[in-house]
Amino acid sequence: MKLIFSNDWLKKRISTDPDIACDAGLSLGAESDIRALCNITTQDSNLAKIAEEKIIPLRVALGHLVHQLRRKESLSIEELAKRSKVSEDEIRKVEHDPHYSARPRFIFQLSEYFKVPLSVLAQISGATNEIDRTLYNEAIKYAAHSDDISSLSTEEREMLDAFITLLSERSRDKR
Amino acid sequence: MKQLIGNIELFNRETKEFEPASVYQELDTKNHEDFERLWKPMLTRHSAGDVSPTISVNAKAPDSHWLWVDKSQVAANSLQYETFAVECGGITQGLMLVDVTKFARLDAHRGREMVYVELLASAPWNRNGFMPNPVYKGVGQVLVATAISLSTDLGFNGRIGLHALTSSESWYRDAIGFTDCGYDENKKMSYFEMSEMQAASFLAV
Repeated sequence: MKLIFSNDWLKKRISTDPDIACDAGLSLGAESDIRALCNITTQDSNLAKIAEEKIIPLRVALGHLVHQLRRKESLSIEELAKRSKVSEDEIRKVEHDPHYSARPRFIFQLSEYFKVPLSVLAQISGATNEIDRTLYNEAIKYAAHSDDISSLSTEEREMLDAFITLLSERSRDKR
Repeated sequence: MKQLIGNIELFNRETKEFEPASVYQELDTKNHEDFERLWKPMLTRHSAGDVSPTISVNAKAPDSHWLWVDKSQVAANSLQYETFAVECGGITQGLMLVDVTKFARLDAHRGREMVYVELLASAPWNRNGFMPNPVYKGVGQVLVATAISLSTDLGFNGRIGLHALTSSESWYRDAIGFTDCGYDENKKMSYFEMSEMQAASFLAV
């Protein structure tokens, strides 16, 4: 993201800012609170760093997954956008443009709507620095066997259900 | 991964000069260490002989500590939250945690998405209540403007909301231009919200 204010604007605001406290929200607690906020990753032997060139196939898998979950519920893009509170434009981009990086909120909202584990959906979107190796391989296989037809065939439906089951299993394994 | 999202300047009250500062999205070990080594000792000492309503009011809320632990632990591995830091002079001067899945309460935008500020804090040495001579001025302005930037980036047109500590209520209401939505019994703090128009007005000044 980009900041939408200039330094000149900020300096003007600071010059007239009253010297009053500005703190908001929850109070700062133990050191562990801030430590948990920080992006400190833990070692996991099954995790692999995602090389840039490997993110594209993952996004293809994500696009197919979103597309097929939507079709499984017979939803148009507009209907899915309304129900999951995301933009139609982003759904289209995720489904059809593997160079598009889905925004974190989009991933979160679709995870909530389709009840797909957030952690694995985030990995498939390429939003994380690392990905479970098994998940990566299965996602690639899933994408390779998915076809873009107007309605899901029985075989496609079975494959989609199997992939969703895998996503849930990988999520549980990580806990 | 921690990312630099902007270079700005904060006002040093001691030197009466503006100094270069940076705004980062996501925190890292350095921010944690700054909190542990620098912020926490001052916060602890202040709480021990506390007469200020800034930290102690909230700290006395029965479950505030555990809510913070719970949410901050989720933040590191969640797409629901975003974190930001302001650094100046090589030290963390401000921290912010926001939730991007909350909805507005103001009539003008009721039910629309907004960025909710879970935590906004300036380092203790920058606060009037902690130091006879606070150091940097402007951290709060930067963090509020950053929250509006995120809201705009997400398509929420600048809508943001937060619960202010008692000592900060007048700042949010009068200095920044939030709408005071009244005391929230659940949070034991007053709730403030900024509409799209108010966000645009704030950035235009």
